[in-house]
Amino acid sequence: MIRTEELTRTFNGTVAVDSLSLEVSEGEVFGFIGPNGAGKTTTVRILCCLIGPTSGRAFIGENECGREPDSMNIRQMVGLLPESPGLYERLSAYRNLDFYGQLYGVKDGERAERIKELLTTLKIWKRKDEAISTFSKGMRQKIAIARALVHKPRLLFLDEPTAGLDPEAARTVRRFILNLKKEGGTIFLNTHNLHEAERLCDRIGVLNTRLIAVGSPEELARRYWGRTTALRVKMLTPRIAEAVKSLDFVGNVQEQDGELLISLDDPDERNPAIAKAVMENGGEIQSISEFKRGLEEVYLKLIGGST
Amino acid sequence: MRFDKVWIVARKDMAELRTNKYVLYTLVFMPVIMAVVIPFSFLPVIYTGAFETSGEQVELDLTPSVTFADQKINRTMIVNATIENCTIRSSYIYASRIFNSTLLDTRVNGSELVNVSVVDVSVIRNSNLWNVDVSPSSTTVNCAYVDEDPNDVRIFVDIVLNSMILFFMMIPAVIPTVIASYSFVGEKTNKSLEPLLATPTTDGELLVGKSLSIFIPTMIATFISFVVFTIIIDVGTYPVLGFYPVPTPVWVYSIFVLGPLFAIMSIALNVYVSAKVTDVRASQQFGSLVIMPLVLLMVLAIMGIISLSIGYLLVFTLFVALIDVGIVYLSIKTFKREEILVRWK
Repeated sequence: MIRTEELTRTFNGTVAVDSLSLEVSEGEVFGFIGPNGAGKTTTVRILCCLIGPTSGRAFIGENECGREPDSMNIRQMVGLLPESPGLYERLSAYRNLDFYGQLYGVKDGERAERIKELLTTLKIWKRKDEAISTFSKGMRQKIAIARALVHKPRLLFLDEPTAGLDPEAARTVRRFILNLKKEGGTIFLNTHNLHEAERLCDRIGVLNTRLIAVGSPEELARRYWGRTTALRVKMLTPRIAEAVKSLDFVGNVQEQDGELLISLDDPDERNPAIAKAVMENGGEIQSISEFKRGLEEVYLKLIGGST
Repeated sequence: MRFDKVWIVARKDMAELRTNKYVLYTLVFMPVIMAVVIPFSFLPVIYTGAFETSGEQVELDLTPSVTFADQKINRTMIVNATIENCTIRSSYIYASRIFNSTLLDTRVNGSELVNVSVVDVSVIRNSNLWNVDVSPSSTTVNCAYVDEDPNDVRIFVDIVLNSMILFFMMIPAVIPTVIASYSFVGEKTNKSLEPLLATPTTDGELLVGKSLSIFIPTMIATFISFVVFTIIIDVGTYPVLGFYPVPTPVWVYSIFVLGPLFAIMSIALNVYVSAKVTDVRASQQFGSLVIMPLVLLMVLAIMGIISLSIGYLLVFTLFVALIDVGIVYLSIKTFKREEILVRWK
């Protein structure tokens, strides 16, 4: 659905996106995470044909970004939720959506039905005739999402969809995105919220001008942390910890909240040997399981922070 | 260019502007000032300037309560009346207004006479006589004669009215600076341009649509204002001039050719300015530069270097059209997706 080849964009000599090569399949929810200024919004703008690349190429389906009439086809295919809702404050919620529906060429009857469907789903139908200026931030964000969906786009770009929302509004928006995911929509999500990315995305790209890593949250954790076994022992003594560390296949060992976190290449194969060493040194095992690293730890490691 | 898309954008912008009280005030007050206040302030100039007065004008207290029109009046005493198109014989008239009539052997006192013939042994006292022809057999006592020179009056009235054109052109020049500032800078500060630019429309369709939403209300306000202005001037001056002074070719040309050109200049200048400023007021201040060509024309007219004839207006139109071409070119270059998202402040 999305393909970029060595995509680069500079602004007055400053590189915003550097040689980005990426593929996103149809029906996939792909998340972009990275610090401010990493090039996430610039990438979305190039893919939505709002700005052109300095070099490299980008494709949405068979259409190439920045080339006419492909750009027009792409704009018809995609829906965009930018960082700011950017709604017409003086117009009603319905009029806002109706205007965009008309621009996207949605037929009159179909448009009315679609707007009703979206506003009903987002629980705003009763306030459809009220001016946007009377709406809360969360409601505005919902209207902006509805606007991006009014023409049933094949590909949806969401740039920080829950930024600045209160927890309840953020949860509503996330649920809505999850529903879209279930319906098989292709979604490209820019976010700073790593838990959100972990929960919503099939694959994640870590971007810091250059694409540092791509993969599912689990793959990234494994790739950059290896696999980790969490071992809980009834009376954890230094002797037991030393015995585990002395095993030649064991990598890093951390003690955390009474547990030993043991980095291994192949826990399924090595866990019995660890259990044996613990018991030989007088330890009584309470539990042994795989410890899953969060995306936050992966992100901080990749971006250069400390864990 | 797809005009259905253009019209969708224009309609949305006009719907938004209808809810903006600052835009509505501008759309109402400025045309009202031009159509009502200016004519009323110029009417006395036309009344007095078009006529030569001999003798001191008499202070009259006229409150006509009855009207006689198209009648033959004989041996009658009339007080506090308006008399139009009548032939009055052997009567006495006091404190009345007499228009386009003939007096025969009649006494008149404390009245105003306009376009009247006084014949047979009539006597007029303490009255103001506008374009009144008094036969040698009649007499006037303590009267002021206000006579027109048939050749000069039209020229004088045209000069006075033409000088109002320059004020009038402020409507299509200034109104767009207010509306456009909300339409372009307002949309920028509201951050609603990005989703709009993401729609399947061309830069040209968006620019023309937004410009139309400014051009249409501006020109409607200008035309309505011109119609009201024409009615007030014509109704107010016909009784003393005997002809309708507007519309003249110079006025029609100005309203239908120069007016739209000024509106286009104003809109295009505002698009260009929108890229440089970050708030609506700054945009309005820069946008008001559009009246500079108008001020230039005013100065040249006041200094007597040019007169506002069709010939000079054609030259001026060419000048304004050239500025239009330049500014429209700049606005087209400015209003591009890439420019808006990357270079607009």
